[in-house]
Amino acid sequence: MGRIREFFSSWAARIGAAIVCLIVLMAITAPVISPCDPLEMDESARLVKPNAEHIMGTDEYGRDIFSRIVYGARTSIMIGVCSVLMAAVIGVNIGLIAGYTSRIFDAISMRLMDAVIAFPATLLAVVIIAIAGTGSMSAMLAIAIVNIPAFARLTRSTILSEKNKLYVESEKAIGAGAVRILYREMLPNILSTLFVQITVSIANAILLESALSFLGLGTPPPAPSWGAMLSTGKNFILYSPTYVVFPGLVLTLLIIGLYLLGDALRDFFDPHSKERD
Amino acid sequence: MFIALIITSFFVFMIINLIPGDPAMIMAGTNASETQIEALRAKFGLDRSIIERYFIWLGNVMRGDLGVSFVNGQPIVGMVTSRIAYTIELAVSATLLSLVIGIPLGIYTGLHAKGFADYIITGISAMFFAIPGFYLGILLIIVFALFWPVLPASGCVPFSVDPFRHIASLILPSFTIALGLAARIIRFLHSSVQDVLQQEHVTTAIARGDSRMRIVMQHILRNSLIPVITIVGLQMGDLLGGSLIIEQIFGWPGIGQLTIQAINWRDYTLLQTNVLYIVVMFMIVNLAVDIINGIIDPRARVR
Repeated sequence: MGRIREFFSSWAARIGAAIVCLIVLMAITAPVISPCDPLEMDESARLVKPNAEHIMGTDEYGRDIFSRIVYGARTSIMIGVCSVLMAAVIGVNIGLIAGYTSRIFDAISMRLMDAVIAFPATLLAVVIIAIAGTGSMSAMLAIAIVNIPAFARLTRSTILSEKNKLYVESEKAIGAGAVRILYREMLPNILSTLFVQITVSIANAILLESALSFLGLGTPPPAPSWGAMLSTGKNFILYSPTYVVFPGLVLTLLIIGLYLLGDALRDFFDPHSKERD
Repeated sequence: MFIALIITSFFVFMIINLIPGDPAMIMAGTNASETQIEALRAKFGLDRSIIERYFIWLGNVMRGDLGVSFVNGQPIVGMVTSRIAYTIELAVSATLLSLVIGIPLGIYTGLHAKGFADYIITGISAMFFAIPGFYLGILLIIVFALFWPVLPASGCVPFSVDPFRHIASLILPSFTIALGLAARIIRFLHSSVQDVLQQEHVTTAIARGDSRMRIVMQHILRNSLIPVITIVGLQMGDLLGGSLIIEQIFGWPGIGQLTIQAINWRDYTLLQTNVLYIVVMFMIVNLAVDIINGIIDPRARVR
């Protein structure tokens, strides 16, 4: 408990956690808190300005924008979290094996990671989606692939610096196999850095997801998605500027929250970095 | 570098050819007969094996022949070069702008850490750090093109037609990119200036009675600039590849917009040229960053 209290002693952690919890809660309770069905169209109420009935107005089909934002949170968070977890599982395993076992695997996998990094992230994701076809699943896959190198490199570099330490030597001496040493002894030591990376990656994944949806390559309509709302809302900017302002605002808030949380986690796990700021 | 280029080009070629959909069938249209499609395949060499096609393509690229577009039969070279000029223009103006905004503010906040102005500037830049580029772009359009219509919302007037309107249309996309980048520069300079301030050579310079200007220019700027060059360089590599999204929002006719079009049209040749160009730019800029860092700080020189 003391550790948790210590973590929340920083303002970044408090504000970040509050924002993220609020939006996650919003996504979970979407059916309860949203006043309308996000897909329900109302011909008589197109592009309505914010009022008592529709607190954020309606879109070009008369759908309630607030409800669409609330449901859109589900899409964004789902894709962001799933793709990063996928990337983390694959990346960490590549990093563990590359750092600890054969040199050939190390060389090949790291050159492969370099090749992935040589592509700008958005471009790579767009090309992957062009191959896999548009849709939520391929967006998730594309975002996952873009995020793998960060995890692989992070894990590998930690493993390389840990592998000659005494506790690894002693495990070897009692005859422990590579699997036991890697997953039971070494993995727990990199969990803290991994946590920080996951938080930051989720923020970037959510950003990338909305960017892809913005380009029409992410979540297909009519499902609500923040990026798609921004790109259609942009067309109606003259009649109803609020249409485009609200989804972007919630997206920005979530990103700020995740970045703050990431900063706070980094300071918490690595007090050395705090002194420098 | 050369080997890396060959590997990358192979990679790009293979990936692009994984995209489903037969371009010959798309070109021929829905009513085409099998023989017509076959003829088109033969014309564009699509009937050969993928490895064969790669080497033919590579040989042509080496001679400066990028082939013709699958969709409208125009030579790719012409389509791409006009777009590259626009993309480079936007990348350079945005980067310069971000340096002009970011470096003075970053150094100021670093020198006056924990002051009132520091909190204000760091707070604002934290906001620009987190705000997605495409949202910022839309907000800027709302403010400067709708409520206070001083700048065009999107599109681009060629420089030769009207230089003033051309520059006016460059302002909003440049600022959209520059504000986010400046926020990153401020963030890094803030902490790296404070690091440098703690070092002994700065203390010595202060004790020696060097002027404030000299200390900042000679000791602080030089030493704290390396992380900044790395960030700006990485970003520049990204921008020279054409910002897919910013170009889309502002209707800027750069390489990013062309890439999105190529994907929508399933134009393989165009897409692989674009992707190769973007990746090559990225690699060249990274190399340039290493070289510049080596000049500023001999310790960072590649062994």
